[in-house]
Amino acid sequence: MVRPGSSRPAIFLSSLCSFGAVLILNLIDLSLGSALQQEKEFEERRLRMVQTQIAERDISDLAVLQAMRRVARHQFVPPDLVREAYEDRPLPIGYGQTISQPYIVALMTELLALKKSHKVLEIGTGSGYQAAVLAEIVDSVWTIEIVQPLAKSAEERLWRLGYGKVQVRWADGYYGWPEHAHFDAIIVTAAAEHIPPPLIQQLRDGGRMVIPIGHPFFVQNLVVVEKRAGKITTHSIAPVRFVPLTRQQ
Amino acid sequence: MTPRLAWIVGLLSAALLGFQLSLMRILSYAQWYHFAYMIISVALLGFGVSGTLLYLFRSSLLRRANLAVGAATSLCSLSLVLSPLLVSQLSLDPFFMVWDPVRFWQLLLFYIVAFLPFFFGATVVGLSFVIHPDRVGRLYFSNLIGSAIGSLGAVLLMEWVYPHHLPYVMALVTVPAIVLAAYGLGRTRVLLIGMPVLVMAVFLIVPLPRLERSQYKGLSKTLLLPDARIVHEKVSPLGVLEVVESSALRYAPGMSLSYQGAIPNQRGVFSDGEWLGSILDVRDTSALSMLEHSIFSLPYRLRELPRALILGSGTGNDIHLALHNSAQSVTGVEMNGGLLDLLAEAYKDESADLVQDERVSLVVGEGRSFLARLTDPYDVIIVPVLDGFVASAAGTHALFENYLFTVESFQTMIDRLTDNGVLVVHSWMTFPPRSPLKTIGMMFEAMKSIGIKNPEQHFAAIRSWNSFCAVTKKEPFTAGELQSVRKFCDENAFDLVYLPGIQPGEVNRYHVLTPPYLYEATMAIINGQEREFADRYPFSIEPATDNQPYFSHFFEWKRLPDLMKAYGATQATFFELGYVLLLVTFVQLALLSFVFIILPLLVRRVQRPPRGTLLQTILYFGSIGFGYMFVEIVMIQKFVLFLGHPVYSVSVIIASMLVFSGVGSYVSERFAERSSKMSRIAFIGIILLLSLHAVFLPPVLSALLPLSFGWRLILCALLLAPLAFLMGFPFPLGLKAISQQSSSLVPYAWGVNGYCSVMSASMAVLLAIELGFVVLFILSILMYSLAALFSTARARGPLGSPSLAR
Repeated sequence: MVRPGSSRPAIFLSSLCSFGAVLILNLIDLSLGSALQQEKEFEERRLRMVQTQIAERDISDLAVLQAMRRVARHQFVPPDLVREAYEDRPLPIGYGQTISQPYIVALMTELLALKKSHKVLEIGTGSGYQAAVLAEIVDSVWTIEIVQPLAKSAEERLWRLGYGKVQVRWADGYYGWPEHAHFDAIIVTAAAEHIPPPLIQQLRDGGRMVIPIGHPFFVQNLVVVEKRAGKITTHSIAPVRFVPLTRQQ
Repeated sequence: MTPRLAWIVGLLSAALLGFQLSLMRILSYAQWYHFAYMIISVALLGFGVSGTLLYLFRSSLLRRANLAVGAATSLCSLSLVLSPLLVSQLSLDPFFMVWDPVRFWQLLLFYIVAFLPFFFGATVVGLSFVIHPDRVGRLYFSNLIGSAIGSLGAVLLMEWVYPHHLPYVMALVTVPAIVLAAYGLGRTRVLLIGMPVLVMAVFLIVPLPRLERSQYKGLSKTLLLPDARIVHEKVSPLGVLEVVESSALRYAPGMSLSYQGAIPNQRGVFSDGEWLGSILDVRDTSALSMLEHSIFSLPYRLRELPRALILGSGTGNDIHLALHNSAQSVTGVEMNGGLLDLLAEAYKDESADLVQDERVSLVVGEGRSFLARLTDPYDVIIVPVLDGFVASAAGTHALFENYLFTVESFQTMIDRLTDNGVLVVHSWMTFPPRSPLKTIGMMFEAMKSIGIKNPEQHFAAIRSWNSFCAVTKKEPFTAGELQSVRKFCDENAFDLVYLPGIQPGEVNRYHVLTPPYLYEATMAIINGQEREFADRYPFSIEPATDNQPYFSHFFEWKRLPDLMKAYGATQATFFELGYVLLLVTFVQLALLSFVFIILPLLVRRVQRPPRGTLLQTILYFGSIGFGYMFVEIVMIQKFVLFLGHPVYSVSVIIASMLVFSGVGSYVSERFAERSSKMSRIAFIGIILLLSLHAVFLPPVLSALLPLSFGWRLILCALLLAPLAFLMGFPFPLGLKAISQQSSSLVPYAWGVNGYCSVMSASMAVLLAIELGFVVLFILSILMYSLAALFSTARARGPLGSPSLAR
């Protein structure tokens, strides 16, 4: 409605402003709607991932399954790989490192046999995804990354996504984190040809350590180290069922 | 123009062969060695496609022949500089290829970029033949001699020149060729000479960009450690040796989990970016203490004051351990002389002046040839782990010929032991176990073949959580020795895999492996059920032999469905990435060469050739294309052991075959009057010599192995000379014969020969891995027999084909 006495340019300007405001509001709405839609889509994919890639492969620990459902994996991968975040495979995160295949993350977490009160140390933060999964299950998570840019970005990401309780340190994982020892569980996310003695020392008696064997794109085996009465034993766990082939049926 | 053209052809051929070997080095450094065979195929593709181009545009190219030669020479030179720069921009990481199909397109792009210098160079060579058909013998000779000089020259240059500088040096070789080619071309001359020379001049001022290593190579990852830096660098034909220091660099393979001492800081040594070993500072007592608590100290619990031989002494840690355990003397054999230089010079103090220690003898050479020369027996012979821990899982070494890890090699080692001596072989524990199982089988096979009765009494094996150690003796183990092994395992929480008289309850005490694969495999061998066990096992654990020296190859086609079912289609490929890549490149290059070599001939038929003769031509030239490359590849692989390293084998075999085949081709011109008869004689000679090689080459090479490297080089050339000389006959004689029948057949001959050559380079390696060298010899004989059957060499006068690696 045009008031009597208004000049034509003023009317034009006023209309333009109104149109602009409506357009901006619509764009914001569209963008929010689109973001919400995208998040919903990611959530659906995540639930599907947990069902088909993890639960159907015999991961039965409810806390692990719930943690895998909750952590938004797509937030931990490089922007160009977001669409592939929930695929059944590891993804490169730069610096010769990867974010592990979802199933391997779940299996390693399950093998740690965690309780909520447990203190967990992770060696090799990478993108921070494994630490976030751990933080969904236990109260205290400490994680060490030796590559400075990875440590920095993981700390920022974990904080932003609400995992502020995860303590991130840029340091040499060889020494562990003696100030907070002993740990109920230690997870070493990069294959190593030796297990640093300080890590064994910082493992609580009755505690467990899990180490993947293989290379960045293919974990062939998991070694579970157990400490009981100061004695160390290991178990080799194959991530897939391959045993029947070696035995006569 | 002929002498000028002969020089142009010779210079370009030298540059192209040098470039081919340079690319192999570049890819070995930036990626992995298994791309080497792909380069041979890409080079042959360049030659094949140039043949098709010459056929399609023959008359227009001939009309402006000088300009065509000048332009192709100039473009060849230019692409020699630019092609490696473009290649370095392509991410060829094989790990990504498995997941991301887009990477395969990058591989295709790589072929095209790498193919260009070969294509332009081969066009010049082919054009020279077309311009001067009466001087083909001489031009062909220039082509082959130039190629041979380029091949040997490149290897010599690798002693001083960094891999990424090598193509540039090869481009410089072509400068005189451009000047000669541009002669008499007026103003165009300025452009033709100026363009490549200007680009070369730019890189005299602007440094050539360094090669990007794969981020997944050991060196790339180590350089991410805090304060990591390369402190030493040395080039050689065997690879770029680099030493890295970092406060966070520690290495403790085979260490006991009950060891609670410190793991000292070390220097990491890399060859072509892959882990070779660490240099310990033995002045730090924790270094020796750590070694003492490793699985590697087992032999010194069995032998006191031994005379020790270490086959692959690397960075000297095994020598330190032997000396620490009061070895009387230690002989270290190491292929890479650069490592010994490091211990003698840069790390003299850290290694306690190992090189000057009077108890220590260090030999630069290959283990098998040292064993062949050996007269005095040793108390302890040690074969250290083959490669880095992660590399062993990556399957990147599946294509390596390893003559130290064969049954014949183990036989020789056992034979060179004192009566009570021990042979100790180490490997990583791969999962599902592969290397340890193969080692056990090979040790029993070696013992049986040298007549040891009851081999189960002569064998013992132990393991840690991630490493494995097998011990064999000439004499049965004594009760005292068995007690020592048990005590050593108890002290260090190592597991027994097998001991004479072992009880099932003794295995799997510290590091539980379910099921106890290694114990079960050993018992199956002892009970004569190794065949049944191997048949059920998901990987091939057949012993590696000198006929199939691929210790790190475990893949079996019949197991593929099981593997894919268990691990998924993509993950399964990671077990043997090198093998998968060879297959992929073979298929891609076969398709590419069909599209660019054969298809244009089919689409643009200028004149329909007679039906019967066309089939005969295809079969004849296809057979000699396959036959020649099968012989070349099998010779390269057979001579790896004789010459000590693939680099020497590739360069010497290619050069020798080119020279002698070139001479053969040149000489064939003299028999133009009696070409049909000569052809028959040549084929009979080839088939006879191939048969002799198949039967007698292994024992002859074994007998000559003790000779010095220089003598072995000369003998290698002499052994190949008669065969390669005769193999130079069939192509020119055949080409001459069909050109007299119908000139429309000539392009088919070129095309089919080029196509089969491209395919046969990778195919020969696949066949060698799957069926062994003897089968490859038989197939070569078959190919030449077929060619003899379809021989059309009845006409007079020779013709040649441009040749690179065939």
